[in-house]
Amino acid sequence: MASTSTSASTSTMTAPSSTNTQPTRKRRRLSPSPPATLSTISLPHPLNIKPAGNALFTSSPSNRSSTLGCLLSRLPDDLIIDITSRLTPRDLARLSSVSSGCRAFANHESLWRTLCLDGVCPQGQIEAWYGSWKQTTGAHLTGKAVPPLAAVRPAQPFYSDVLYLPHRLSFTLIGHGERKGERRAAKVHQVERISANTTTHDFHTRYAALHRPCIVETPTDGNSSIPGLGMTIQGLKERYGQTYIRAEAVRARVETYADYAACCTRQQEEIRRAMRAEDQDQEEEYEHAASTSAAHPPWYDPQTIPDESPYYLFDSTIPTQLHTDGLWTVPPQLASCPSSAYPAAPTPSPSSPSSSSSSATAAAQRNADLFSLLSTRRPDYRWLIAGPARSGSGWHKDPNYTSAWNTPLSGSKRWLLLPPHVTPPGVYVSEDGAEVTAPLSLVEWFADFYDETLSRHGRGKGGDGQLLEGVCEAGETVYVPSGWWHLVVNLESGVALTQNFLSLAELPDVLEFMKNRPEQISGFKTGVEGAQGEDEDDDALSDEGKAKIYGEFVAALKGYDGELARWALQGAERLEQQRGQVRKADAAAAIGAGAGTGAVLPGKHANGGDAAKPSWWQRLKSGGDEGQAKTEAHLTTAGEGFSLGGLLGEGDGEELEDVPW
Amino acid sequence: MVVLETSDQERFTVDKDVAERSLLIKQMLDDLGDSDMPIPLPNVTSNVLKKVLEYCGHHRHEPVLPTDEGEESRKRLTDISEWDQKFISVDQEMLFEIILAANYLDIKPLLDVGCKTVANMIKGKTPEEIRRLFNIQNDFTPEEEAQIRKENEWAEDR
Repeated sequence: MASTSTSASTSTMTAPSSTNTQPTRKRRRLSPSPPATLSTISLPHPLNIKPAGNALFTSSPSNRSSTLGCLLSRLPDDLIIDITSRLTPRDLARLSSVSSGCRAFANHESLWRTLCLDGVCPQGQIEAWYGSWKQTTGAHLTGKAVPPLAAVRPAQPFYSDVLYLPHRLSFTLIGHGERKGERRAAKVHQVERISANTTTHDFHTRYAALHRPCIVETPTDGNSSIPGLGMTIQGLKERYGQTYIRAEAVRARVETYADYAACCTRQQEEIRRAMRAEDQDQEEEYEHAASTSAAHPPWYDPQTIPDESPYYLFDSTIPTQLHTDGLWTVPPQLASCPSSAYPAAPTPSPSSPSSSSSSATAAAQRNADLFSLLSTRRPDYRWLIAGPARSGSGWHKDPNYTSAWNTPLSGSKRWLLLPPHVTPPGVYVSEDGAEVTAPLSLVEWFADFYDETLSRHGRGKGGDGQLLEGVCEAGETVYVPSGWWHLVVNLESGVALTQNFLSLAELPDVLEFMKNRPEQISGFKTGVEGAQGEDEDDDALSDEGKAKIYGEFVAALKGYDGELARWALQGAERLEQQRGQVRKADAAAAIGAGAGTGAVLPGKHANGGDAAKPSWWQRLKSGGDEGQAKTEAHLTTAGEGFSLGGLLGEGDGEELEDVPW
Repeated sequence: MVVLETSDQERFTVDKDVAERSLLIKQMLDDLGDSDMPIPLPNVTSNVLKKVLEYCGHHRHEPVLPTDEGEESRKRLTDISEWDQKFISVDQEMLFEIILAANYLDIKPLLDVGCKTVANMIKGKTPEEIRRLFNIQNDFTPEEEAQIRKENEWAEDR
């Protein structure tokens, strides 16, 4: 996510897109059905900044012109931030001493975050965390720790929506009511939960073959099959403290990241405590989180507004160590893939004619991840994830049409999923599907778009029921089928394992994708010995290489199993034809409507034509469980969904990738 | 040619490519098509528009950058070309008016020059110098000021 090194900061620097900055206290108690996400509690800002609207209700004269001066006070806030974003750390710190108004702007954390990660610390590499971005910047610049913000709270409020936004987002609820499953279930379809005893065959026929998400529950037989279960960020620090990792725009040692995460957790606890004092109703959101309370972090600034969406650790090197240490496990249902689960696919008969049971097992394992045929040239596929509560990945699809599983070792995650052709509200996909843009941070998305998503895609009146939600607890596994949009947010601080794979279920889709949209392929490597240098991109495939990789993969597939390759290529061809038809139909519709340009309003784009289509859910309900006879038909239906919507987020749409290939 | 009318009812007739340095005007022209009707600019006075058009005329042949392109490199740099430097050497009131007009008319490069200029005015100055420069009132009590000075004194270490 190199290009998004300031993603979090830029998103907070834009003017608030919602005018809902004037919370009315306690309104919730009066309404029979509480709003889904927005807290109506307002907590005092440490610098006494208030939403601009509040200025209308005060009789005292504004301090804006006296504390900002005749020039700055008359500029809109986003221009003042534009100006201050051009200052050096020292100039910004000096500005902070000028007056309360200047201090309000000069301590806007997103300015310091950008100064730190884009300026003082090249490539966003920080050597230690000092409690706030301002302190971390100051310490890296001067070589010694600098003091936190002084506890000076001006008596007179300063009114600004832009400056108030991060504070508002810090107490915007993101998991509200989520643990009270019944209440939520009435509004949104839940991700199906299946027992840990589900057989591999059942998993594949009922979920993978239908491209249907599910959560595999924790084994209850007592002897857990997950050796790393219970590992926390602290535990990670003890084991791999000195290893450098990347957490979006930040590069740091695990140790440093753990300090950052502990600081975020501590800040969130303080906010929670304050909220609890304000309103007992809010407690449920956080009841679980209280148990994760970390020891006091070494660096913590109580006056600073925490990162609204903390940086999320996403690392592909530690999994190799975890593997060596015996801590990497693939959930049993996903570790192999029997060809017999796919009626059209032949049982692979590797060169040896005697298909003994052991070679069948080996084939089933191979079939679970066919990109392994590319050995060193395959994209990174195993990831360790960690982060405090509220960290996570915004809406995205996984690269190269792979499917994924995700198993938290500690902490739980809230998942939101939408089928491939339903673009989430607030997310914009370019016409060819190559670029995905989400202008908002994760928490901002919840504040601004969750309710809309619920009413469009929930189960309630007017909703199409396409949205799936679920909470995945430690020890459980989420299965994300190829092409599905997903958003994940940590409800508590936690560590998780995830893996992207290519099984028989998505093989036709992946082949169709690789053949027809090579420019969107990502992560494959040259495989040239020694090419893997310091720079992650050294080993990346050129455009030319991307165009060739399809042929190379097909060749590898044919070498592995000719029958299987033929079956998959036929499936890919069918998908290709469907895509062509859809494109023609789209073009005809566009001409008919007189809409010459492809510049469709994103919001409309997301819903365009959905009403006419049967809901994904209805299609599945109409017989998805009835065994193999219908499997083929559903496979096709699922494939059809694919070709309709925006495709993979890749390249410049990196903001959305949880996999920074 | 395009006719622009300012808030004080003065009319300016300018070449289309000059006027279209303003993305707001460009958008209007695209929407309206060719027309002799003057385009009203109710937020801009004639003395400011004169100045803004001087800038647009000088830069008329430069490519108009897409909004997002170069956003990052644009951001932190505070150096200004020689012509722009001279152009923007105006009093605070005019500087303020130019920034607001560039913002309203959506002329990104001019807005940039304006914001860079204000940033440059702040750079290297002590808090007291900044107060004097912009006529800012120090509203901290002596105790608060001492605390805040301590908080930021690292900025003075060299």
